Amino acid sequence: MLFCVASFAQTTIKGKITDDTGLPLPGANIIVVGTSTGAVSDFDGNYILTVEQDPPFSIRVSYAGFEAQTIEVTTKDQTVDVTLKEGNTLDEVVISASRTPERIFESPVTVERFGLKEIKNTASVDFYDGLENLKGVDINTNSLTFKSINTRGFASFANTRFMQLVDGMDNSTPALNFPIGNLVGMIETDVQSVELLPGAASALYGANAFNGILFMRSKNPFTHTGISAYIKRGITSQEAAGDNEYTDLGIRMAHKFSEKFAAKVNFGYLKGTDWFATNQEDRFNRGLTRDDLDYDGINVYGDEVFIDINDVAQTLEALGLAPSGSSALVPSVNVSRTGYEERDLTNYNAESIKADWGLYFRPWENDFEIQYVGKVGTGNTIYQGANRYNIKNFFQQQHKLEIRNDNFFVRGYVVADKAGDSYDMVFTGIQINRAWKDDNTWFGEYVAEYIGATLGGATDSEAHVAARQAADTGRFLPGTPEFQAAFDRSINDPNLVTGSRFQDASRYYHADANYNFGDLVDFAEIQVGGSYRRYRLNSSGTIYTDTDGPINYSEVGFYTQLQRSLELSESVELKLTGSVRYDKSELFDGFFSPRISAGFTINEDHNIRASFQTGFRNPTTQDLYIGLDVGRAILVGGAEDNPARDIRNYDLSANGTAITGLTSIAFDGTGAYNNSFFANSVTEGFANTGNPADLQIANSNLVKPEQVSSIEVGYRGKLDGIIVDASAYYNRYQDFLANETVIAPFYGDVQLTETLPDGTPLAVAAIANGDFEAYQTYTNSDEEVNSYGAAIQVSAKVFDGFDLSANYTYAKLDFDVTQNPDFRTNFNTPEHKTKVSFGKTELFKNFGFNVAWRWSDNYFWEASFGDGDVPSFNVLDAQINFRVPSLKSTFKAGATNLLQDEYFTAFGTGFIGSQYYVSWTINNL
Amino acid sequence: MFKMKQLKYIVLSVLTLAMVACENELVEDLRERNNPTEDPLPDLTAGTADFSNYVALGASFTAGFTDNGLFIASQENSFPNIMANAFSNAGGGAFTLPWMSDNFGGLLLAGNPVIDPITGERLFQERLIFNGAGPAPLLSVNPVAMSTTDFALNNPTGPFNNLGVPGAKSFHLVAPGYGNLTNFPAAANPYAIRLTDNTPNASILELAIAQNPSFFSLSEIGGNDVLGYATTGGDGSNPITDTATFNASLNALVAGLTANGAKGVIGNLPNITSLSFFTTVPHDPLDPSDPAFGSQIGTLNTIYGALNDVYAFLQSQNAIDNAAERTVIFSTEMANGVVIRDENLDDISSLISATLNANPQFPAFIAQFGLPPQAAPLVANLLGATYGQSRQATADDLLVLTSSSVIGTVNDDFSAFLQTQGLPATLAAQFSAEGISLPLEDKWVLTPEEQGEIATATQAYNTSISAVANANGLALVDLNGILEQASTAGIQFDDYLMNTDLVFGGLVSLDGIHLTARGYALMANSFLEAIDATYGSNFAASGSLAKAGDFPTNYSPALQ
Repeated sequence: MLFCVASFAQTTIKGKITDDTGLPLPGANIIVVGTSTGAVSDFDGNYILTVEQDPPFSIRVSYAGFEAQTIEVTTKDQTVDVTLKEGNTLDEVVISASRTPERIFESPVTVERFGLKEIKNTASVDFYDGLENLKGVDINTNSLTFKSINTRGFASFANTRFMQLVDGMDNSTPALNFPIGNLVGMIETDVQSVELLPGAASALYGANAFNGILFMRSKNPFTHTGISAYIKRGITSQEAAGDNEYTDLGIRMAHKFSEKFAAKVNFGYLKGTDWFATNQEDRFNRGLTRDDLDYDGINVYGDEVFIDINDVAQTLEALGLAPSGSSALVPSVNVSRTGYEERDLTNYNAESIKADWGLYFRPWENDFEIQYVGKVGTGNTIYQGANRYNIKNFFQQQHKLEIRNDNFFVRGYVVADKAGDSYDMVFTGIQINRAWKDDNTWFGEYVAEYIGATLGGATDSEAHVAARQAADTGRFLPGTPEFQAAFDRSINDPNLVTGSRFQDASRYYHADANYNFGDLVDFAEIQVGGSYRRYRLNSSGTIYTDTDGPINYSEVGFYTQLQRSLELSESVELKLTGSVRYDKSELFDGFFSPRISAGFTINEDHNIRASFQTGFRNPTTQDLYIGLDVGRAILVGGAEDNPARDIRNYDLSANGTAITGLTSIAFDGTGAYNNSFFANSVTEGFANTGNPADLQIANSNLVKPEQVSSIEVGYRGKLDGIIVDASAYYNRYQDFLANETVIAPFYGDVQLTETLPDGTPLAVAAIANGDFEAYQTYTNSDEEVNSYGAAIQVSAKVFDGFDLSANYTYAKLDFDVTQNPDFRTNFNTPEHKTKVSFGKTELFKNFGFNVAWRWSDNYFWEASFGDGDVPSFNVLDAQINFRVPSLKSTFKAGATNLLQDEYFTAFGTGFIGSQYYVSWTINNL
Repeated sequence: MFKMKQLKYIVLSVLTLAMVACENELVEDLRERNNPTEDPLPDLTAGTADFSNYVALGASFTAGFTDNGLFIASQENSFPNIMANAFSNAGGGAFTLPWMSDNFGGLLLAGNPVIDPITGERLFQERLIFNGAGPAPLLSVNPVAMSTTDFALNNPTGPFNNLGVPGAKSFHLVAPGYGNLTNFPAAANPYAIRLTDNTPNASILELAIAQNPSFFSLSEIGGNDVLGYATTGGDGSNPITDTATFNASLNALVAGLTANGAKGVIGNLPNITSLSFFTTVPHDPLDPSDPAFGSQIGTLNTIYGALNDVYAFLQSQNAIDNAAERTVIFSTEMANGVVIRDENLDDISSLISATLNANPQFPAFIAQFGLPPQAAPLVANLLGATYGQSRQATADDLLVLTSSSVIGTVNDDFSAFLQTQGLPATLAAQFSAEGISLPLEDKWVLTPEEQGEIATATQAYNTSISAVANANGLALVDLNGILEQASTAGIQFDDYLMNTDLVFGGLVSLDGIHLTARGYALMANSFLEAIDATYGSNFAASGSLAKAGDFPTNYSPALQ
């Protein structure tokens, strides 16, 4: 044994890392240069590093926000105390912009970083929310726990243009094609850093890295060991929901068993009450209330069902259920059923349970590492898509195997989801109504009473009041057993004709590989890589047209990048980067996406950059394969083989039966793509004029990838104490993925060549007879859409050590919406945004604070659930914190939206109230 | 010179203030696209008209008569009152109505109902209501809803802007004493009596002129001049006013009203035979599946068969040329036309009796009805007298609404008469079934000839109305065209497609002649639109027209 020990050289170095004011820096990284051996300073700034190597060697000490230092170790068991000089944010190292470590200052494109210091200082409730304070970043709040990050415009909750990677794994949900916030993300104490690349990045990251990417990196158990945890408790406060308790806790346990093997486990739990969505305005901005006939409240469900009651009266007459001729007493107006408020259809439980674990193996005790990482997440939240969904007990899991060293990685992972007990709240309202009284009966009773009341002397409005009252008699009231039974039945029934359950068990498999030739080639840094993804859609026909079994398809991509630095003069350095990527989906032609950029660094204090890149985005799984009845229309995806798979049965009208000789018809979605009219030309044009010439043929094109070309310029500068980071971009979108609402007649061609004997075109007769279906198709716009914007951030130390930073973001859609009335860009982004933060890490000993203020201009939200104004808002968040080194603890008390002006970032969601919390974080280095 | 530190604050503060909240174009465009704001309507203007003192002259429509009654609510919804409401926003003044005392309708005379001395029926009854099956008297569902409006005891104090007099013919409006109680019932109208206040002999026109109106409406002039004839089936008891009389009255009215420069609007006459009163009862209401009728068809055809043989014989003798027209056959399969008396047919009573008497088979024929052979001459005479001008109704005949309560019933008078002639009671009743065995009297039917008379008169009146309107620069409303459209394709009024069907059409009230409140609103709008066209006002363009939904089609039986 002695022999064995003696045979190993072993050097132990210890010391303390402090800043230039003498304060300890916990969590600083100490790494032996040239190896992956390292340590992290503890809560008092102390570290011990045991190296199986004899001096001399060098150690590098780094800490976020400070300039790193390299120190020569000459003797064994040396004490090395290091004082780090505070650097600035531009000196922080990012790896996402070029897939290789580089200082932000020299990065060829705009990149944002949210590191440990920012996480500790943020006044937001958690790090994910804290990203909102970055310049250029929009966070759209679906619900308390489901927030969508976006940059550079075109935001929606189904934000398929924005990608989110956790340790290299895409964590978008297979069923939805976009990440559901941080619900299956990371717990706060495991976060090493968060980087955000605004703008297209397809050249390196492939399809979908279109508007931007968020990278989250976790702490490696080889360098960050031990147990760390946090608990956060507080309340959410909202006018509609009142004050509700809120708990968020997380624990990270990491252990380095040897130089060869380390492992970690994370667990997070969150429970609270979601923001109640109680907006009763009319969904179509008509200023209506339930006192109006055709009211469709935003957060009132069931009232989406409407009909022209004169048609009902005529039907009743024809069936002998109303006196002959009495339809003349019934006005030709739309009447909607009485709905239920959203709050009666959900308990607004916001819950998230997530866990992940990782096994890390370094067989040669160097940078070569084999990882297995598993992640699971489950919980409840609310998602607003075409309708509003209560995502209940959803489950998502990810498993990754990765082999890497400093120069390469190969990884493969699978992401799988289960929709759990999720349900569509809009349809739930509709189905409860129907379970109690089917639409025909309800409207029939309505009309009968309307006629009766009219004959009894009522005016129109009195007759409507009486009619609704009569039709609603015996309605299931929330809180009663009948209501509950109908509710339970609906949310457990996946057939959208009768129920509202959301079913999915989709998954995708993904593989990535990258090799960096940096060590092998001198004249430039060269990287090559590739990726492969296979989708497996499996919703049993409830979302996709996969009634007959799962739908599979795959995508593959390859890329390379060259990067070279040139010293142009003593004071000017030029860094050139060129990348190109080729992607091929099984369903579409291949795409090349290039990126070139040049960055000039002048006197080490100024960096000017310019880049051009293209991006593209494959249609999402929903764009391709959806087949979903959302009530107002059937969503039918635009993949070549998809429309024919959406087959539904319809009863034909009496006239339709006379024409076709059929009483019912099985009709599929191909009509939407090859025999349809634009819905507007029917409802706005033909319905008013009765002139068939007003019908416009839609015949949507099948969907194909969308492309963007982007030019960006930027400047980063360090001026005496002031740091400036600015950028401006111009984006040009082509083949913009878009929806069209079309109406497909059940018989007759839209060219109107087929006619009835009296000359009436068959298709016109079909529309007049109500023998048609409305579809929302997935297609591309011929219109070119441009957008441009800019962002600037200025930060400085003021008043003796206070951090003050302010940024401004400008975003502009360059598209004439008045000239293109049918085209919806869903830009959904304010033109102006300003964010300011002010704080000090050490106001008194161990005591710090931070205040963040955000202002957003108003904007107009367009989305399938509803369109409407989002008013301008001001939000003020603040936190104070107190560190207790003896307990290795930080206590924080904070509040968001201190001004208590409730606001919203998207039309249709609950209003965002205030959150007040205290947190206790232990050992978060 | 700036220090760097100062610059720092300036940069930061400029950044913070950069966002001056100016409304951006995209937001406005999207908002507008999403929910287009409609162009604001222009302000209402009276044009060249002066509505400060508006007087309405006319008959029942002007008064607001509906559901066979005039009552407070119906007066409120009278078309002149609806117009006056629109006028009030264009310089119009107060509009006074001769309010009835209740919402029951009907009239009393000195505390007593008014009884028709001939028929013994009560006149001026309470309004009709819809009882779930059809029009019914208010008293049938509310026995205490007796009229309280007494035209001897509680007449209102004038002057009145609404001078509509239900029942008035054209010449009545210019007749002195038409509103004098002492002339009732011979030459006065109770509704006129309610208007005259302390000038009992003033004509309606004089009542109007005395108010020095700045604007007037003249409606239904000529309406009762043909309506009385029509509702009595053209039986001659209520003749059509001759055109000369009509013209003289019309000219006097317009001359008087425009004497001091007043402007006005005049409505022409619709062809009243399109009203439900004349279109509700079909010409062929006899349903063979109705056992009461169906079981009699065999017997009936036997009798009519004998008569049909007579017609054929007479035609073969060239005595008549319309045997086919007179032939009556009841089908067991299809709806059958009623048998009517058409006074335009030659009366061949004596030819019929003579032919029957000459037929040696006739005594045997009547034996099957249990009549002895010696009764043959009597029966032949009776048959001749009854069927001398009879035929089956065709689609060209219009049966008046009130005939529905008569058809198929036994005419007791006729039955009693037959019994005095020696027929047994049962047989007498069998031969007295209205429209079946007994031809319907003239008063129940408007034959094509009678309809022609009405149409001719209406056309002549309308020619005069049009001429007088043009000559005086008055706004002219084509009510004839409106009713024509309503009775054919239907007429759209806001969200309602109204037609002239009784009860359910929405336009015509339960009496089949007068309009519903919604119908009067449509009428008021047509007047306002005509005023727009003539005087440059903009009631339509400014959104000042009446809304269909604000006006009911029926009045509740419970309305007090």
